[in-house]
Amino acid sequence: MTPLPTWQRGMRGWWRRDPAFRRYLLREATSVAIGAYALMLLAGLGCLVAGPAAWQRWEGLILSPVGLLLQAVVFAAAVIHAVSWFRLMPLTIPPLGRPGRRLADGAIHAGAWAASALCSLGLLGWLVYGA
Amino acid sequence: MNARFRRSHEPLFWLLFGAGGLLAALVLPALVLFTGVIVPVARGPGGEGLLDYTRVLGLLAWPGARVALAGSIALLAWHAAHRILHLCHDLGVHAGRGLKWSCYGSAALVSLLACGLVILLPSP
Amino acid sequence: MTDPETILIEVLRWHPDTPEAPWWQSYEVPYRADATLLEALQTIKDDLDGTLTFRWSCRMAICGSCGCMVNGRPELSCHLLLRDLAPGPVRLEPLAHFPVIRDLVIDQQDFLDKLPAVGAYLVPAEETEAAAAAPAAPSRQTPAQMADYYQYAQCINCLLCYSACPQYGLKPDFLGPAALALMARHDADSRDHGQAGRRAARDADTGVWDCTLVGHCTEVCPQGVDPARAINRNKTASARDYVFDLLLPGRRR
Ligand code: SF4
Ligand code: FES
Repeated sequence: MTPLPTWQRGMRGWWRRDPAFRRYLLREATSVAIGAYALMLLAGLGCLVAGPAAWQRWEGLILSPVGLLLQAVVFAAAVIHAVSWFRLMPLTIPPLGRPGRRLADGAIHAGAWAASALCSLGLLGWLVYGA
Repeated sequence: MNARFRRSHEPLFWLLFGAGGLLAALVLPALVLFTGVIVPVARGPGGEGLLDYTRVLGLLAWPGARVALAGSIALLAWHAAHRILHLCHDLGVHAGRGLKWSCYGSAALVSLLACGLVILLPSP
Repeated sequence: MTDPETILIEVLRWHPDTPEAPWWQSYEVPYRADATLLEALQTIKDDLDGTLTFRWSCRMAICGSCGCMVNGRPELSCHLLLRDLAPGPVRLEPLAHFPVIRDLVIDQQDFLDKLPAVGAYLVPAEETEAAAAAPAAPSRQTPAQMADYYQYAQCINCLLCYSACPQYGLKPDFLGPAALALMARHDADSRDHGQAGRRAARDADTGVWDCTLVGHCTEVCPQGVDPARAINRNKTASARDYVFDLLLPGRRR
């Protein structure tokens, strides 16, 4: 049997089809800001090793208007990332509990946010009051 | 029926991506809030700040903090590399071998540098 | 608000005799608040233009044959009321990512070819000791055990999820949402013993690993199947097996 003639449409600009696709790409794009922040931390670590003068230059850079603006972008990205990460979390972990009494998505969400609050407070406490 | 399926090595990268993503979701907003808002706002009357050289070295005197810092930088890098690779593919850039190697290679390089630097850190 | 007299329906049409020229065609269709979009298509075919081609059968959202893109979103045309689409215009296209045979009719062969690969059938416990001791014993299942897969078992093979999945569009070899949800459906069934046979397909790039959790499949599914959950839970399972197989050589492959 000869295959039927068909028409295949391309994928160019597929994200224009639905806002859900653009939200997805925004979520994925947060990784660019997160990667940039990791590089910023790495640079800081390098400057810390290089000595007080280099460290001060790094501190000046991240606290300059441009540095603060970029950090504002990273903050927004980090929040979008956290919200989407925890929202999708129940989809990625295997069913917990026993058949008939499976852990509800809401419990996982609540647990994740509680853990986030705890870790964040712990980290901030250490960074501000530690040493 | 199974001959057409070759096992993927994606799990390796996905686990690193997931670890970095979980870390970022748990603490990254707080960390950026610290470096971007709390530090500039909380400068003391004498100009002393939370990120002063000796203070930061003091914070990192504890080996656990050094491991955590290097580990966090590495995991965030792996997270970003994995997602950026897939983002390129999504946007129509062909994710061939070259792109794969440069993404994961950069993450590996960042990890290596972070580990090396953290070992070289002077004690306060 | 007074009801409109008519509603404008625009259809992206394609005919194999003029393969280079898909075209948009508009129809003014009499409006009824209780009519479905499928009924509007039938009105076009009966009264306005007999050449318009589309699939349908049950008219009640259970056969899965009337899927098409409605204003860019995959939908069952029999499952949408005109009153929810008014005042229009309503833009109809064939389901995305599939080859078009004519007008709104797509070729589902790719999905049919992938179905066998996921082992979408129960494998009985023939070889297990319990079965040997009590041959032909009925496979009992509690409601709680059934709840673990029931949602995944509601699939009507309408393929809306494939049209909602950009990864399927970008990587046509990807087994895709519905097939992988059926894989999870049978894995999660307490009567099934076929998990080992489904692993190779699960662990491949074209299995769960081509998915990037866009999640739109779950949003468009008319049956609440949640393929995104089925696939991404299997990613965790696949990753777990990958690590164990790496650490314990000889465990598998
Ligand atoms: S999973 Fe849902 S959207 Fe996909 S084919 Fe089945 S019923 Fe249709
Ligand atoms: S005609 Fe059967 S699902 Fe729409």
